[in-house]
Amino acid sequence: MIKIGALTKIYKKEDQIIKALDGVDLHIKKGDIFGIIGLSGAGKSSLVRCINRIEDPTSGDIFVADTNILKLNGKALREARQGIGMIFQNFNLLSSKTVYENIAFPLRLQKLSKEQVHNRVMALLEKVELTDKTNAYPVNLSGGQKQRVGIARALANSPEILLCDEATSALDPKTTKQILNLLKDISREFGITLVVITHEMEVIKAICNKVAILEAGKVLVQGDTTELFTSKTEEKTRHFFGEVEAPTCLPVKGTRLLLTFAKGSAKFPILSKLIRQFEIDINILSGNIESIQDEVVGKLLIELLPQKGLAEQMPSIHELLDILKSENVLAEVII
Amino acid sequence: MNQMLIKATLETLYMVFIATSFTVLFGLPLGTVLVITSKGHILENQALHKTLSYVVNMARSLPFIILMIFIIPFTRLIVGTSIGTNAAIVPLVVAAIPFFARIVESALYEVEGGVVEAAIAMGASEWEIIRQVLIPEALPSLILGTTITIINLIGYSAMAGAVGGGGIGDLAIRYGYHRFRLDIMAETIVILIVLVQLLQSTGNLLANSILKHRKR
Repeated sequence: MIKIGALTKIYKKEDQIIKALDGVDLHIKKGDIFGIIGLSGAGKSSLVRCINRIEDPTSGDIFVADTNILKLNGKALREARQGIGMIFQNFNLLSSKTVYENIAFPLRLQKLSKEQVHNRVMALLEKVELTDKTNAYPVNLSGGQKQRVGIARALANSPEILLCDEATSALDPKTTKQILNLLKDISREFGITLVVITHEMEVIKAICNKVAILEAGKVLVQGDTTELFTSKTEEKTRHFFGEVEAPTCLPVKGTRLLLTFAKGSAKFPILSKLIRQFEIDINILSGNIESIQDEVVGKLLIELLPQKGLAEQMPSIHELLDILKSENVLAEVII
Repeated sequence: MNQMLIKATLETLYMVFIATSFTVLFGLPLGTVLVITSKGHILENQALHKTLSYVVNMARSLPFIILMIFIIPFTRLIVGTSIGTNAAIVPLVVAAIPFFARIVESALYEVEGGVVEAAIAMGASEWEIIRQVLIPEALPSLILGTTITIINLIGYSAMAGAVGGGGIGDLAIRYGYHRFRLDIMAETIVILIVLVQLLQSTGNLLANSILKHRKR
């Protein structure tokens, strides 16, 4: 659906040359909810703005469907933009227009008849559950309601792509959850491809099936969200995926293992089985279980204590790792 | 006596009304062009922006009374004479256009960049953004700015009276100053005060009713 190749954006600020995007390659498939996460200043906002050409990149390609969006100009570009919806952190609604008129705005640009506009607006208002606010002005809406209007407006022209630029960053946690559910719903119902820009891993965990991490204008890693959360952690991406760490006040007494419970293995009492089978002592240092993309993923940091006696029954670390692996638990030796 | 006052008031209203119409007609586009050609706006054009900005500043740096005399040849070219009410309208418009353009400029700059960005993202053309986003969003500020401009024009029109433009200023100078008729002077002042008060209240009322409407 969207293919981004070698995208580079260079700013000149006074005498400094800033590379906002530095050779970004991304491949976003139809129906994906593709998360792009990074710290502020990582270039994610520039990246999403290049997709509908609110910003122009310095070099590279962006193919939307089969059209190179960077080659378009004037009317062709405006028509392409009508097929790409966008929602914003600050909603960017027109304060001079009612909820109804805000949603009708993109439809009027298409020169649709009054009746067509009315039918479409009412259907959208129902979809975002705001029929009771039809004639209200944006100033009287809550943040969540404003974003619902923003979503309805972005969906008005039935786009195939919806760009979400920090769409929930100005909302409280409860409203964030509602908006994320609405976005997920919309993606499923209409098969829309979502590009989600955020600095919050919670947003990625909740709705994105794919994720790319952007740092200093470069893609550090991209792939399937659950896979990235359950595969071996690398130093450079560790702070994004949330490392489980042992409290520093605990002295190291044995071999420390980081266990990642993937593919539903978090639901089974694998550790207690091991303890019974091999009569080993295990100390649990820290851990958590969370749901990523409706899959339960657990992380556990344990310490394998040295055994007294019965040495012949004690399995080697390798044997243990193999057993764990057969149970869909990824184990990494930390110390 | 009263008839003289009424005639002078009507002349002033006529001058100000016609001058305001032409000022808005030329000043609104000029102010809009100043905004949209500025850096990072929808039709960025630094050369045009700087040139227009320079011309506006130049026109605004001339005191009205000097501008009025300076452009007499131009006034003759337009209305055929340099004396009378119609002739006074030309310098009024020339003086008010750059002033109003700056007011339009500051009103349109108040419109949040994000809203314009959203309109671009929806595929709106430059003209659609001006007509359906910038102007409606800035409407309350534009109305208040127009009120300020009209009140300024009343002040200018009194000066125009001094060089034969007619109107209240003309009356005040001829009777109140040259003939020491303090009563007429006082009456003209009362009329001017009432006029300005009325205009300002109407402007405020209009702008507030729009704002209140949007907050309902």
